[in-house]
Amino acid sequence: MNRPQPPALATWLMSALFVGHHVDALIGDLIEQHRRGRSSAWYWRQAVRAIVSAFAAELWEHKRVAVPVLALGWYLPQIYMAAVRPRWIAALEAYSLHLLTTRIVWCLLVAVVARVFVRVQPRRRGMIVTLFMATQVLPCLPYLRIAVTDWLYRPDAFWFYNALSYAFFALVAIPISVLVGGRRKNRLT
Amino acid sequence: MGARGFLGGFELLVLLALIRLDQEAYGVPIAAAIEESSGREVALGSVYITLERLQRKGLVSSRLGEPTAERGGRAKTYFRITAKGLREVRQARQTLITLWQGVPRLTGGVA
Repeated sequence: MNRPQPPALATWLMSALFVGHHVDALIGDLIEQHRRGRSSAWYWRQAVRAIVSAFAAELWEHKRVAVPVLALGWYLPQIYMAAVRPRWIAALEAYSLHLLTTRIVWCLLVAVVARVFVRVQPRRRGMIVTLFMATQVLPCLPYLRIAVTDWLYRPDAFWFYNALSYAFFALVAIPISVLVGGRRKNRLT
Repeated sequence: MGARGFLGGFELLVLLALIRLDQEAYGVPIAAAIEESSGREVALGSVYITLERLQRKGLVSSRLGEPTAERGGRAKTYFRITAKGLREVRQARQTLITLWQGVPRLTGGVA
């Protein structure tokens, strides 16, 4: 007899994102209920609520870790602009590549900061990476909207490239840099 | 709870469900027991988050059952209330009884 299969993506998301020791027991319970007749919508609802509630509980319980991550993540662009950028950006002004170089340096910087946070608090890795990524991606969204609007008003190749490159920077390059910087350390040693 | 504070409302419900279910207490029946008595839907994730917090406080212990095919090869985790947990429940009950004695009839939407 064919058993109803629970949504695989919801199960994967729970195993990847649920913060807690009893994740296997929780997934087992949900699968058991799904096979007893609960709908896939119910399964999804339970999965999303579990992930969000666990993250909120983790944040509340580890406020002393979350607050510095949020503060430094939020003010990192200002610190970077005030202390780092002016020293070398002037030297690059003569070259047309300075925008690309700035973005590469920014990605390297967020990767290093994520690495430092995770090394200081390795047990809170999931929360730190998620929070830090949010502080880096969310402030980019208004600029991305402006870039897309510019392209819609002036639909030529230059503004298309401008919007596309900023979208890649904000939605791909920054998240990957944070994830790479905050990756789990190899436990061979 | 001593220096750590009082039991939360949902924590108390989970501990009472554990006492009622005794040996058979895992996520599904715990959530069902709370739903049955409160009339509200309970998220299984919230039950496990609370159980983990109670376990860290030493009020609950857990043991792994056997993995079954019905659960996608995953084992149940059974929970039991500890002696410290029982003491906390008794203390919470006593506190509630004492406070109720000073409360007038709650009728008509006003105290």
